[in-house]
Amino acid sequence: MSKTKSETKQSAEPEKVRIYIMGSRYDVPTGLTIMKAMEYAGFKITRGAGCRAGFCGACSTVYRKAGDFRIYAALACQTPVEDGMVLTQLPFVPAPKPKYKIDDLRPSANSILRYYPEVARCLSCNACTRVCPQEINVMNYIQDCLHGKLAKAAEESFDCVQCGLCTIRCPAEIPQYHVAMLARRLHGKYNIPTPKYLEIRVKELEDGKYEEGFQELMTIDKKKLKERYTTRDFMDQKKGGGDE
Amino acid sequence: MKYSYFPGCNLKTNSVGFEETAIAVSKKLNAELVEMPEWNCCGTIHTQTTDNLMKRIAPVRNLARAAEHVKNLENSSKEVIHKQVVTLCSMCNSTLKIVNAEVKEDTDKLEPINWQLEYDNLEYKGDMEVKHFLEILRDDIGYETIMESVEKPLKGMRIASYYGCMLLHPEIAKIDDQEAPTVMESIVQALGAEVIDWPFFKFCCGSYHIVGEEDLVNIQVHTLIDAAKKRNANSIIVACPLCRYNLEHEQIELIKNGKMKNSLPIFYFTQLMALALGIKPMKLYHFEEHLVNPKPFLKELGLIGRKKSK
Amino acid sequence: MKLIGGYTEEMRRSIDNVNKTRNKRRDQIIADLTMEDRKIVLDQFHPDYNPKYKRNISWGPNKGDNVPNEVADVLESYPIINPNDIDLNQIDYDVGVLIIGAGGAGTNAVLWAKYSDVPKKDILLVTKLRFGDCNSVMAQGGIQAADRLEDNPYIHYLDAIGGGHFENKPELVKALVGDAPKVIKWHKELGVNYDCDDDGNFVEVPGGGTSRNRMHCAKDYTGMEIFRTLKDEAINQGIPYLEFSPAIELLTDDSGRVTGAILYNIETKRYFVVRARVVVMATGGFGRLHVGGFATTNHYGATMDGVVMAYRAGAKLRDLDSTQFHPTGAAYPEQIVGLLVTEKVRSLGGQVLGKDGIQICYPLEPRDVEAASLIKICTTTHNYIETPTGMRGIWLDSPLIEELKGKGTIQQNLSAMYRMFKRFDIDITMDPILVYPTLHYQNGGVDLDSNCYSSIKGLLIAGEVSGGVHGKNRLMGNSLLEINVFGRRAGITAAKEYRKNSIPRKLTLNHVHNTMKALDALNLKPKKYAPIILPEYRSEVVKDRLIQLYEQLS
Repeated sequence: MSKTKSETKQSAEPEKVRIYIMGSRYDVPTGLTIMKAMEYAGFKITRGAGCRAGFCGACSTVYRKAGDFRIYAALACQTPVEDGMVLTQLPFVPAPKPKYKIDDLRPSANSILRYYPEVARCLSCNACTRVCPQEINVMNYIQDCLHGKLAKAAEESFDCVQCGLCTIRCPAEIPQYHVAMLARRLHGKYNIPTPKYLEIRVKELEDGKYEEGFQELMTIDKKKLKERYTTRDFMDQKKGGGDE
Repeated sequence: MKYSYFPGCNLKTNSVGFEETAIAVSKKLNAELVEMPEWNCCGTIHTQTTDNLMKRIAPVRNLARAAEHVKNLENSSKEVIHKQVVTLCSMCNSTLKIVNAEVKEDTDKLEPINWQLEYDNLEYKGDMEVKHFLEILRDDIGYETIMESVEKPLKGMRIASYYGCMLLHPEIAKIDDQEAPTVMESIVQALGAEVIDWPFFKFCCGSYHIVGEEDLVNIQVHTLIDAAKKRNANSIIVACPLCRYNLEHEQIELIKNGKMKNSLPIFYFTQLMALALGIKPMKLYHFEEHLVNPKPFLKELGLIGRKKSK
Repeated sequence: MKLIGGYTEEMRRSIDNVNKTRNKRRDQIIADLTMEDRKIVLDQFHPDYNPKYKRNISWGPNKGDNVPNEVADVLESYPIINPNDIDLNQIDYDVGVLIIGAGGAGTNAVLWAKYSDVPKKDILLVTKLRFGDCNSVMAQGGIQAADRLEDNPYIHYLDAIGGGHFENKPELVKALVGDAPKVIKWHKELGVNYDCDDDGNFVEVPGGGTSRNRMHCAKDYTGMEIFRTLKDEAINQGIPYLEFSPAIELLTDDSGRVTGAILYNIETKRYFVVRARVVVMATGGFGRLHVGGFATTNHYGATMDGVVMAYRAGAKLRDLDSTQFHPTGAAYPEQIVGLLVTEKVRSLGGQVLGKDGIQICYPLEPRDVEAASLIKICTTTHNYIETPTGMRGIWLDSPLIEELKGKGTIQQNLSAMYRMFKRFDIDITMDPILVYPTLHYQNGGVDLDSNCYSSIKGLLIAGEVSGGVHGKNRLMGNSLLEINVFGRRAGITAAKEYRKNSIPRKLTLNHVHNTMKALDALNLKPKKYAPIILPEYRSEVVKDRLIQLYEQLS
């Protein structure tokens, strides 16, 4: 396979930290993210890397620090290594998602409990919140679901990247990130109204109102098209015009 | 006066009328229930577990959060707020009271729970009291004030007060005398209704057996309703969503099976208080939640507006 | 090194300038460039216009096209399989519709194939990594749709085609803008949470090169919110999918029609033969080729596999001469260099400033113009900020947003950005962000028509792998739109083809043999291999000492 350019522009600085990847010792340059440190150490990642930017939840990692009994969790692509870190990635979270017909549900606590009865088992231990790399109050939104407060649950869980760390830690065995998904969909579908103008525009398009105009735009010569473009009016925004 | 108020799950889902009328009543009586901004399940579902620590995290977390809530209420309202958290559901009340008493008595039990709460910057110092709204009505507001606030006496209502198990048991969680409670009856009297004296005030409704052994619940409810009717009651008041559900659901079953002719309407005590205090609008009462529709009964007594009959 | 709030002392000195000038700049609007000035800055500073980054393709349907070296490298690569090693007699998956790529376009395609009555057992979705490891989830800013009364599809059309330098395929632009409101309506029905006011009216913001506010967004997780909903729905629909099993070659019959694909399980290393009546290619883009040596915003698997597979099967490509560099990639801290700083930061009022704290250009030019303007400052002036690792960057004044739109706006609307920098101790509500252009989007790709047909039979195209929708430059918010519009159209067309076509009789790798023959004739050295599947990021120290013991056994 062809080689591509290395992601890091700078060559490694001499300063190194010692980390333990699944128990084995590696010395890696300071300042690398956990993901880049693993690659530096020689791991060709297949599981455990997705977007590499903190959005996909593929690289959830659990670790301990030297002299600290606590267990920490993070996204490997967003977290710098520290000296003495003992870490492993979670390749997968076994949490199958039940199937439902969103059109047949109501935005209520019962809809959630029907598919996730284990929500009622929440012990309020808050281990989920502590492990969340997105700093979401996971337990709070689970409780909100239980109380039927879907708007609050949708808002609180919104930044979830579905890494599944909460689910792995939960003593009540709740798949929180799936629960949140259902809560958001119920809220988005049933509680947020659809603006009239959207319906109107869709109807116009279906009725072919814009066909003729499109034909014209698609066939006029480039010069005229450019003119239409450069002379189009800008609304809403302030447009340049100062002499800076 | 303001109180830190813990709703519990049922009051947000299938007993909204209980909560909304209670809050309206509390405002009218100048003893406002203010919902805690964040709270979790009281923990009742785990009271059966043998793992004591786990069982107590949920209630203690609520107590710690309530303590913070009291502090915040005090700061924002500039008045002294009792170090109390008020509940409506008798099950929540019982769970929180039991655990509160346990950890107050034995700080060795509290410590490991606080180790868990420490991660969330919470600590419970054992300085809160758990109160049922009935206790607030009796001790802080007083029957006299209630009576003075009545705008529409509940004339024609003959009410059996049903406490169920959880308001009076165990000893540590009781809100009144276990054998001769008077708080609900006193309120009924203050509202201008007739008090029905009956010995079945804490005869178990069947509780969570509704899930697995409905027959058992059916027998309990049959006995209860018959007893109330025999003493000429025309309605029953409760303070527990599960009691309400069982009493209503099984009456319907009994009628369906030909074991009973007419049903008795079941009310939360707060619904009747709201009615007597003239609280509107009617949507606060959420009568649609009731399996036994109480509206025809109330209309007949002239206690709610009469709509054109079909 | 001493850091104060995440920045070095020297950077702090420049931040002082930014803070000092903020009040004066608040309402200052800098003029956008005329068409002539745009051309000048592009010609001089945009990597697309720099001949040293490019060469002509030496074989195949697009022989002679001038493309980036990295793209030419891939197109001139040998297959990673020896076609003689593959047993095509045993078919592992026999399906109606094969969809390659489980990103936004692919997921749309499976859903709409299902909605168009293809039985779910006759659909197969395959993907390189996990279901949803794609650029779609990383799209932060928004999705364009001309739905408000003061906007209309014509204006959207003009914005898109002007932004693309009038090189877009008109029928594709029409499809893009004409389907947009329908897409949003469908999303609402699925339960996507778009930002809106209490009455449900969308919060719509501008984007670079748009003349109306038509960017629908879901905080700065727009792509994630749309995608996770689509994925949830696809799972609800019970559509079969294979993860960690990228396609590595297409299969064709004697006539050259596409009849399936070879998959490769990157964990077990075995291959699978898939026979299909129609194949949808939705493999995404090429950010991980690091065109021009640039860092990228793209996900780990964005290696242009789909383009090279289709090219070998004879599909025509277009517009691959143009590459989108997002003007604002993170330039600091080192750990996140190249990651996207959403255009929404500028949509909400963030200005682009030099070391002296003075605005350097209109912040919402089309992306190529904006990127070229930033490169210009960093390469021809001293008004840039240098990082401790020697990287050059420009300030993006995020704290101004809080002044313009109120305290808390950033945490509410840019929570992903806020969180990303906060992890490195930088508070973007208080301090500006250091940015530099980053490789963002494959503007061109496999040619298609408005029903997603490629130039060869049996192969449909959707999403970033395609070319023609955006011409030579894509506007913000048109890629999330593209995956939905063309993913949907591909699914509907696939259902038609599924009903029309009979089960393919023959599976061959003729086109792969032909590719090898053509490459042999060119005698290229060193030999390269593609699809790349995953980029190589292991360190030189390790790579120098690698041996492949197990692989040598076979």
